[in-house]
Parts: sequence; C-alpha cells; structure tokens
Amino acid sequence: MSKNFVKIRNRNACARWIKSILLGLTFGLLVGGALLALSKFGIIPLLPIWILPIGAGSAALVWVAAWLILRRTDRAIAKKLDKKFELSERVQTMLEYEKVEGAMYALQREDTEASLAAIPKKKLRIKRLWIYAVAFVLSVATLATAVVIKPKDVSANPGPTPVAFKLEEWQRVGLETLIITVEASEMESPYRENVVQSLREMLEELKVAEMERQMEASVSAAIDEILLEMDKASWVIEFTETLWAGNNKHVRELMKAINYYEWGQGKEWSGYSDKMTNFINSFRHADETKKLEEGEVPDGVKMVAETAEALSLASASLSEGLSTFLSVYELDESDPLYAAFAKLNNLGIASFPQEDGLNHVYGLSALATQLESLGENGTLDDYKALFEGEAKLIRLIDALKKEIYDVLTPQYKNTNVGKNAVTEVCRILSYDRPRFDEPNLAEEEESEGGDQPSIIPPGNPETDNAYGGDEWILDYTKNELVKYGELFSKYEPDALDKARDESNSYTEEQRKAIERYFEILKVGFKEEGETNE
Amino acid sequence: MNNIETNAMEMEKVKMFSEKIATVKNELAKDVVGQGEIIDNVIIAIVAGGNVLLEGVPGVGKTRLVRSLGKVLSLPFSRIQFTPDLMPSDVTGTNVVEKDENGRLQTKFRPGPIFANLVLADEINRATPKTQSAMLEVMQEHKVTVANKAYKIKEPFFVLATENPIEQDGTYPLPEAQMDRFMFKLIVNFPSSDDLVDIVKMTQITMAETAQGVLNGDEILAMRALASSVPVAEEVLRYTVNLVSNTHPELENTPSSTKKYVKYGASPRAAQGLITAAKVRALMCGRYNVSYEDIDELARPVLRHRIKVNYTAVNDKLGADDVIGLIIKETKKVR
Repeated sequence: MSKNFVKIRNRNACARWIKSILLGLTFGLLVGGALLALSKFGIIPLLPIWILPIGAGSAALVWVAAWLILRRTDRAIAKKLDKKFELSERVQTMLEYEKVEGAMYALQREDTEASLAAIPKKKLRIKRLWIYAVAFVLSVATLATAVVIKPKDVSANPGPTPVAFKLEEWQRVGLETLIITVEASEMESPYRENVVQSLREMLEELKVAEMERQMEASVSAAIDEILLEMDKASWVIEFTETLWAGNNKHVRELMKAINYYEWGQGKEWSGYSDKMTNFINSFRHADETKKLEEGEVPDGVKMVAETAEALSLASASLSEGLSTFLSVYELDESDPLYAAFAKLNNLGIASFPQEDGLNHVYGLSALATQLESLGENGTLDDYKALFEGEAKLIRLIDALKKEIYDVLTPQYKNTNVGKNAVTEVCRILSYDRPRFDEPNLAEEEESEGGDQPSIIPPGNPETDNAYGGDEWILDYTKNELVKYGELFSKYEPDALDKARDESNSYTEEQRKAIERYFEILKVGFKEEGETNE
Repeated sequence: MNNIETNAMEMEKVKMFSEKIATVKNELAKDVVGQGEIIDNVIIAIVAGGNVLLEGVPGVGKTRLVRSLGKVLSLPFSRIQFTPDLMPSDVTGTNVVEKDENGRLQTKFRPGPIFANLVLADEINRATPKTQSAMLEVMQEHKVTVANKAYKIKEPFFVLATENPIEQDGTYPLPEAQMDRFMFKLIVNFPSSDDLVDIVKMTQITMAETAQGVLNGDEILAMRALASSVPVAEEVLRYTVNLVSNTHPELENTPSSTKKYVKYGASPRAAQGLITAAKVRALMCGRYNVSYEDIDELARPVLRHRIKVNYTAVNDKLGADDVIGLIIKETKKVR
C-alpha cells in the first residue's frame, strides 16, 4: 500500500484516539464536577465517594462511543482525501487497484503517491483539535471549581428567617382574662379544669417563648387539647346529631325543635309548645269554655284528637328511634353515651307511663272520636276531661323536651366554651383559627305525607319577620289547620282596624292593650321587665 | 524482453500519450483558429474510437477541421457531400461490370467514398433516410455489405458528420438509432471576435492548410489500447451509470427535473461512451485514472443527442444541455 496513504491513515487513527479520549475525559470531568457541586449545595444527596466512579464511567462510555463514531474505513479516508485535496479520485482508484499489476496501474499508483506527498503537512493536522483542548481545559476548571467551593451549611439555614416573638402585655392580660372566663363558665367538670390547665400551660410557655415558631407550637398544642376536651364533652351532641341524621321524620322533627333553643342568653326553652299553648288558649279557652257551658260540642274536639295523635306518633317514633339507635350501636353500659341514651329512652317511656300512658293518648283519641259522635249527647265533664288530657299530654311533651334540653344544654355549653376559648386565643395571638364543623341545623326535610303536619320550631325572634309564621294551627272558624302566619295576617288587620275605629266603644287603654297583644304575638314573649322595642 | 523491460516500455508510452496529443493540437492550431474545446473532444472521440456529429452554421470551420485532422493524423480522408439525391451505393460503393484481361465480363466491387480512415459526412441530414441508413452499418461495425459480401474498412475508422441547424427545408432528421452511433455531438459555435480576427488575418495570407502529419493510424490504435487500460474506480463507474439512468423518467428514484423535462432517456451506449471517452480525457490531462470531473465534462457531448426533451422544457426555454446540467446537479448529491 502507498506509504503516504498509510501515514495519513495512521495520522487519522491517531486523531481519532486523541479526540475520543479528550471527549471522554471532558464529559467525565464535567459530570463529576457538576455532581460534586450539586452535592455540595445540597441539591442532590450524593456521597463524594460515588462521584469518582460515576465520572469515570461516563468518561469511558463517551470515549468508546466517540471512538466508534469517528471510525473511518480506508475507502472513506480515500474519498475524503480525494475530495478535500482535489485529487481527482486518485486515492480511491489506487486503493481499489492496489493489487493489480500493469504499467498503467503502476503509473497510477506512482502518480497518487506523488500527489499525496505533495500535500502540505499542515493541512493534514488534526482539525479543530483546539476545540477539544479548550473543552477539556474548561472541564478541568469546572471540576477544580467544584472541589474548591465550600459546601453549603444546610443546618445553619433551616429555611426562612425565623421571626422573633415576645408576649405583649395586652396579650398576657387577654389570655389571663380568658382563663378566668373559662373558670367561671358553665362548662362541666372535668372538661373545664382541663381546658383551664391547657390555657395556663400555654400561657407559661408563651411567657418564655422567643421565636414565633415556639409560640405557634404552644398554641397548636393548647388548641388540640381544648378540642379534645370538646369532643369528650359533646358526646350527647353527637348522639342527637346522629338522630338528626336518621330517616325517622318524627325524630327529626323533635331534634329540630330541640336544636332551636337559644344559647348563651340564659333563657329558658321558649319552645313551640308554650307559644302554641298561649295562642290557642287565647283563642280557645274563652270560646270553647263558653260552648261547653252552653252545652255545645266544641269544634276543637276533633283538633285535639288529631293533635294528640300526632304528638303520640312523634313520641312513639322517638322511643322507636332510641331503641333502634341503641340496638344498632350496641352500646355498653360503661359507655358515656349509654347513660344519655338510656335516660332519653326512659324519658320517653316516662312521658307515657306504662302501657296505660300510651293507651291514655290513644284513649284520648278514641275518646275524642266518641265525643264527636256523641254530638249533643256529650257531657261537659267529658269535654273537660278531654281538654285536661290534652293539656297533660302537652305538658308531658314539654317535660320530655325539657329533659332532653337539660341533657343537651351542658353539652352545648361545653362545646361553645371550648370554641370561644379557641377563638379568643387565636384572636389574641393572631393565629389561624381552626374550622369547627357545625351541624346543619337549617336543613329541613320534606314531609312524608300530607296528613301529618310537621312541627316547625320557632325561628329567632330577633331576626325573623313572622312569629312562627309557618306553624300550623287550627282555624276554629273553619275547623281546619292553617299556617299561623296566614291566620294571623288575616285577623291582625281586622282586629287593629276595629280597635282603632273611633266609632267603637274601646277605651284608649283597651286599644293599646289590643295593639300590644298583637305585637306580642308577632315578635314573641320577652322576659319580665324587657320590652319588645 | 523480460517483464521489467516490457513494463518500462509501457510506462514510457503512457507518459508519451499526453505529449502526442499536445503535438496534434499544436499542429491543428496552424489551420484551425480557436475551437479548442471542439478539437479536444474530437481528438478524444478519435482516440476512443467513436464517431462525432458536428453541428454548426456554415463557415465556422467544420469541414476545415476534419480535413486538417486527416492530415495531422496521416489518415486517408474522404468527404461525402450528402444531398437529397445521394444514393446508398454512392456512399458504400457498388459492383460494376468490367472486362477482365481476357475480355470476359466480370463484376467488380468498386468501393465508395466511405472506404477511408477518416470520413467527413457533410450535411448528413440532407440525405434521405435510405442513404442515412447506409451509414448505420459502417459506423457501428466498420464494414460494408454489398451484394451479400462484407467489405471490412481499415482501422482506424471514424465518421465525422456535420449538420446545419439552420436549413430545415429538404432535410431529414437523423433517426435515433443513427444518432446513438455517434459518440459525441459537438456544437460548433460562431467564433469569438478575437478568433474571427485571427481567422480573417490568416486566410488573407493563405487559404491553404499547412498542418503536417504527426501521428498515424497505428499510433492511434496503440493510444486507443493504452487508454482502455486506464483504471476506473467503482464509485466513478457507479456515478456514470447513475447519471445515464437518471435520464430516464420512467425509472424510480430519478430526479424531479428528469421527470419534468425528459421524454426519452439515453441508451446504454451512452454509459459505454462516457467511460471510454473519460479514460482518454484522463490521459490527456496527465492522469492515470478516471475522475468525476471527466464524466461531468463529457456528459453533455455524450448525452445531448441521446435524450429527448419534452414540451415542458421547450416552454421553459430549456435545451438538452440545460436539462443535462440539472441531472448532473441532482446526481452529484449522492456521490
């Protein structure tokens, strides 16, 4: 083979080795330097001992790949030489016919040899070797930089700049006042003592806390403890809310009634029954008593029986619901909820003592039916017994509600004391208040049937426009149940017009009494000494 | 003579090749002004053993060139002026009836003007197709058949035909089969101003042709044999084949320019002619191998009369040379 071609080929091979080694080393050093820098800055968790094998491995891979890619056959080298130095395909021809004998071929080889020898050596140098060298130097510099830089002290920089905290005087006073308030609250023991203890411990920690994160930790711990006490103290609420979520309509009706009491204002249960009783009494007692005296069958007899039946069904459903709940949850006697369930269950039974109690209700219904059929043959004593029975039943239901209220009131007080304490702590210390899950008391279910009027609890007298406007009452003039609001709106203007009509013989005092009476009916009864203004 | 001595003589011959060509060109320059490229290609064709078709307007020196060439190459020269009434036998020769020495009648073949080493077929397109077809056998096989008897023509034998592109009336375009027998078609252009000045000056002195013979038929044959031994690299051979294949629009993978402008492509003789001529050209250039440059330079003379362009090329005002240029450009991309 042509000596010059062999020289060039060897030079080519040498260039290939140099380039591939430089590429491999460059890549390996870059990878190693990058990994070292990243690990020093804490961006990647890599031990320095791993950097060497990773870098060496990458270098080897790139070296081998480059060596393979840069590989050239003799034919490719010949082609490149012919093209680059405009040798008119001499080298390719020479290579192809290098073993063929003959004068022409010998001359062709000589000619090619001379052409190759005439190529200036500087033109055969490795092209762009300086780029590889520069890249290599840069990679060395990268690694050196990575070695020299100091690792970042992660422990000294835990994140955002910590904020200092110092308990202000007004905050201390506010928290101490809160502790006193909780101590004086009606929260039951031992929950109250536990909440007070949590608040005291929190206060002591805040007095010595110097950083905001310390304050947040103390507040968070105290809130968790208070919420735990609230959970312990609100077990009956959970029970009633379970009943509330049940599918028994009558139970739900009663639960609605129970939940619509006024908390925190020291008021007694100004429940539906009082208002209904008073209203009915104001209309009924005078007229019906008169009818009784005159020997007429009161129109309210039928209403009483229906009312009694409705109430009995509600009571029976409550009893049924309690029994179902107890059987489903299989409470143990030692469970705190068991006592409440048992109490309510017994309360239900106590409202209708023994079977006779229930029969008394049904008896009243049956009596009412009989009385209706008696017509003019009914006696005054019969009617009186009926009304007395109705009144007793209403009182019993009221007593039931009161008992339930008595059971629940402390629970709600416990919960609200806890909530208020947490809210106050968060306000004083500008801490995000946790969200308390409130029961959806405003949810109203549709009636299952048309013949059982739902008992709608009274609304908030201070916010509602109508005084029990959606309550069902008996319109004695038509002997049918109507909504209180409709009946009231029908009678009130008529009554007030008559009262204000100067042609009538009402005195100024009577006129004012009538106006005041209807005002009371509209906005509800107030405590003695309070006014409706 | 041993091998070493044989080889030495061979190498000496190869080295002398280009010198001889240069001598021929110098001698021709005494009678023919300019037309350097035409002279080179004619010499290439003669050494390669091919026929040449010269196309040019009257008075550009086509006939003078061929006559001077005959003198320089020391080859018996014959000129045939083709006319519409020229008969085939006027070209090839015919049998005549003669009395022998004993007075008996016998037929004797009287060779026509075709029986020369260098034949100038002037205005070949004026002859009838019948007369033109008489040229087919002699151009390809270098023999004439008359009355079922073949008469070989002495080598080297060349036909240099001329065509006048202006006159169309009374002319018969050469059939493709005959066109394919010409190795080259050379366009003799009008001389440049400087060349024309020299021509006028020279012819004012004398119209006589002063070139002398510097070569003979045997030497030409030897040069031909020498040229045939020039090696061709596989890549170059493939490039040549690709180039000729790319003139065929019906083939797959042909360039878009071929599909757009070419109606018919070149025959395989084109590839043979290209390689043969390229070998001669390489030696003339002092090289001992064929290169891409040789192929590219000879592509137009070899292909321009072998491909037929379509009306799209005519509409785009592209001639055969332009289309060949596009094909070369496309073919170069893959070499």
